[in-house]
Amino acid sequence: MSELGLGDIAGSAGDRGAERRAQPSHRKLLKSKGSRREDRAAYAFLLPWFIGMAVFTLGPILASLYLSFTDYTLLSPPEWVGLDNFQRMLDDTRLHKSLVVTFEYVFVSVPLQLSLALALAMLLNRGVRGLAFYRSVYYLPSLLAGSVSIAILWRQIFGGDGLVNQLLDVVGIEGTSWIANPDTALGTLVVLNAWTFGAPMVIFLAGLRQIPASYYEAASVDGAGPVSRFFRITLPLLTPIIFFNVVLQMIDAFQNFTQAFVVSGGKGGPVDSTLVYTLYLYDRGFGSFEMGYASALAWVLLVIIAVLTGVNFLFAKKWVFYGD
Amino acid sequence: MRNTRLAAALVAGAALLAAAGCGGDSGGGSGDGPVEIRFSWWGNNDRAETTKKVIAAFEAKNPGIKVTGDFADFNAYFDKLATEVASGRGPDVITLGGAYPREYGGRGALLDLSRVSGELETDKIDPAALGNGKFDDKQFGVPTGVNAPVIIADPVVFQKAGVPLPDDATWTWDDFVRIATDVAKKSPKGTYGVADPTKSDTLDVFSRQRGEGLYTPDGKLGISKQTLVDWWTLTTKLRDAGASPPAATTAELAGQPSPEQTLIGRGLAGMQVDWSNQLGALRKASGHPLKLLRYPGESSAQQKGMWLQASQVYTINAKSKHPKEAAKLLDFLVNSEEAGKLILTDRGIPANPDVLEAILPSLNEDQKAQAEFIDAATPTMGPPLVIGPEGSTDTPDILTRLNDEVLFNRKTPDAAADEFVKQVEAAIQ
Amino acid sequence: MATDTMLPAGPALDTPAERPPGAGSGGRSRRLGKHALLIVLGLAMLYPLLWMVSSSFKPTETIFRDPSIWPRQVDFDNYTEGWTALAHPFHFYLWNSAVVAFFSVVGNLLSCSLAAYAFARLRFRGRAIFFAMMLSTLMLPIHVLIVPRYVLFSELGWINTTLPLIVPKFFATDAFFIFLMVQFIRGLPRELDEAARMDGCGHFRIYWRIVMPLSLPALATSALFTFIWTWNDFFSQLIFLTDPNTYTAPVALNSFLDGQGESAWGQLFAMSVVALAPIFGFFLAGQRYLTQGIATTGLK
Repeated sequence: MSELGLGDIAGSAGDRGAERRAQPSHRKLLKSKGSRREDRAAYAFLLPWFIGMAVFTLGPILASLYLSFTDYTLLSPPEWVGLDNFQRMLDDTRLHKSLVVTFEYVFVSVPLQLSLALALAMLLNRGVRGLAFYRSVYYLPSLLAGSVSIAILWRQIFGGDGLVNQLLDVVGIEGTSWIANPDTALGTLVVLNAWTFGAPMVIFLAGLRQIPASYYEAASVDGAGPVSRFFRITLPLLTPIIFFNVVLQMIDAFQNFTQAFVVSGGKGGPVDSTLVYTLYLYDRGFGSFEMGYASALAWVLLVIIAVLTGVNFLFAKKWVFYGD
Repeated sequence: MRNTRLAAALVAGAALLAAAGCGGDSGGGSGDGPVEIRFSWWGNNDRAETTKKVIAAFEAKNPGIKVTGDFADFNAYFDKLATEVASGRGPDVITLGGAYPREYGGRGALLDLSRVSGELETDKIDPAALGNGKFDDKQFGVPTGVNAPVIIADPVVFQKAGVPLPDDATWTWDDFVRIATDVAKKSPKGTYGVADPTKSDTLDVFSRQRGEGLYTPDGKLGISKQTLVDWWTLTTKLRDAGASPPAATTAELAGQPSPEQTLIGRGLAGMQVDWSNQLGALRKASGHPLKLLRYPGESSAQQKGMWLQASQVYTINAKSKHPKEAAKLLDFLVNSEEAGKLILTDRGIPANPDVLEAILPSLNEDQKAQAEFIDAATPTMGPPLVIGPEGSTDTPDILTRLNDEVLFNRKTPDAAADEFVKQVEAAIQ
Repeated sequence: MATDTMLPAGPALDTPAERPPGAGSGGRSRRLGKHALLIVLGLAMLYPLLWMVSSSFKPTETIFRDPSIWPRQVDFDNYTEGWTALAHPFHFYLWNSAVVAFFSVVGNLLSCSLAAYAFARLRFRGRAIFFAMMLSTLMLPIHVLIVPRYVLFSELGWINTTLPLIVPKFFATDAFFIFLMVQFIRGLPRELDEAARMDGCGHFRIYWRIVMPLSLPALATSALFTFIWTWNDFFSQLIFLTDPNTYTAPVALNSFLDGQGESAWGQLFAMSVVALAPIFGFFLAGQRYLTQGIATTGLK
């Protein structure tokens, strides 16, 4: 398969038809003879997933869908109310506020976190002595991110008498309490999220590792420099992983709960400035025993995320390159 | 019948199934072997260690009953409890507090204790505190102990500022503002006269002094708009005078409820509104003795604002399979000297005077101070508190939000008062 | 013959990371600059952690009164007392966590990789719909699922055991990892398995002998994340484990706290540091597999 040259890799990014590669006859052969067999094989591979879906996943999901059409206080049986919960959302000003907060959060923090993660992964993937050490250091915050300790630590940094203000004090600027100020509180959450870039970074690193060395060798033979190697090999071959991180981090960011919860003491304050969507949903469901409404909120969130994920997949056709 | 129910549950949701009461419980075999009941509470490990000893003592006396205890920190506890009760598998004896007894009881999750009056005696318990577990004319809970809303003062901060401690028998709200301002002015930067006093309990005291109260007995909002406006006028005055901290500090503190993180716990405020049972924790945090004061304005008030509050309330799950055994445990917890001597004031000053009497010699300085304060203040307490209706657990959060807006000058006291009335009414409707 | 192609033929040659430092462009100063950048960034990353470690050596009362990062006095009381403060010594909870984490890792690796192979390599009816279903299970917040899930597990009689935490992992319920592996597998050149198929290999052999070995970085990543997330997961462990004898480390840590009264902050920090150690160790050990170049010389 030595005919798989550099031009092929770069050039085929936009062309992912099933028959795009060599040996079309071979593919056709497989297809005609094996389509039913491939079905059966696939279902066998998916068997655990089917069982898991049927037994553990689908039930609770359908239950929450049903509950979204009910008035359910958790403590007494649900009562069918039709579309009331969805109607209520139209006038729920806290919900509207939390949507704004959530979108701001997602669209600032995801690109920030991912570009940091990619930059660091590239940097650490190059020849740097003490690689393992740096990698570990950068990953450490991700291990801590959801713990109670973070709530306290974050105040030690961004609180009125925290580290940031002490540093600002040195240069003669009087800071405010970044966590308590409604204008900056969400910003500290974005920073907190960026601080945990370790997880996507590790995924990037793993992706970089999977790029076969032979491609680089081929490129070297072709006389490509480091820059062109990056743009013609690394980046295209990393696109499935970049895509994964974009999709998952976005889904994740829409559901960011723990960090907002610990930093704001569970209330989304001050003045609802950190009231991210799931925090509001939790507040309705568990704080105020409005689980029916919370379920409706959850399904609206699902639709929002699903639409944006769908958009992601549509655009992916333009920029993600798969080896298959 | 059961088939249709199952089918409905499969399609429509497993939650229904639980509501129909299909949760299999341990200890189902009632005839042979000990009866198993589950008791849950919130708190840290120290409380758990104490409670375990109480359970052991109870089991020794009641060989036919086995008690398993479980606990979690306050927030986690209520998440877990809601999940379990919703699934029909809640604990038999449930610890609740504040407006939660009504949230749970009002929705049918708690047992009417008159049904187990044979096992559980309540006649010795202070009636005012007992009122905290009573609504709709039914007794749903028994107080674990009593507690009172107070002002906690730091004598060291006062002394350093050269300001005498107020006379809490006579002081007015004007005195409160003046003294707090005075302390702040004469203290180093960063030390305040009082931490922002806006809490739903404070609003209760403040409005009760005017003959109102946060809620009315029939479950409506009781506080008037004017009272709210006056309250926020007072607190903005405190803030503008530098007597209470700037908005950002107050907002930051709202997210960190533990005593060690409060201003007074760090020696940075002369006064703080709180509950009397926080004395020990705050003292430990600040490193020196603190003093309990009555609220200002009590002597000149139309009606006394302070009240005896059940620190926590023990209740029984309406779905408990062993309500009699649960009631026995509850009785042991609140009426036996043996349990009292183990628990001491961990869950408030015992509401049964005999138990209090028995434990007095074993109390430390702070615990004694609380017991004495409550003892002295009891005759001058206002009427029992009206427990908030279902939905009122939202009120503290609504208040915090609006208070931040007022302190950050995003809303005038007048606008915030309107908004408070609107939002709380929506929450409790 | 096919096996020849897929067998690793010796160590990878000259993958970029294995290139000796400083080779090629860039001099000494540039390298120093790079290190300086990495170190400054590292310190910023580590500050909160260092603060926590430092606080774990302070008596609880002084943690908030004196929040500086250098403890005035260093004592180990928080460690010795924290270790034995709870109903069981702390290593008991660590062990419980380790058991849950171990089985979760095994379950996820097996079940998710099977599903991922099907989604990535096979064309079958319903593929798009199943894939969308799989992804959408990631999109509902746990808070609306927890009550129905609790009912389900209590019907199965699994409450108060670790089964609700472990068994679902063996049935590919973690869509995150399926999708992750799908992306990695789709990134693998298809020529190898096509060649194997020509040689009459069945799908299972292709999966097991070709795709899995080549997916080592993805598997290592999945193992790492499963371990860490399970280790840190508080909410579901709190909900499903009721008996203190089944508590895991995060649930045990919670009992140092009291939202309303006194919290043993010093002990909490000390034991948090202790609980962090195993995942950090797991990461250090596991990252070797992330960084090992895969022997793909057979591709040439």
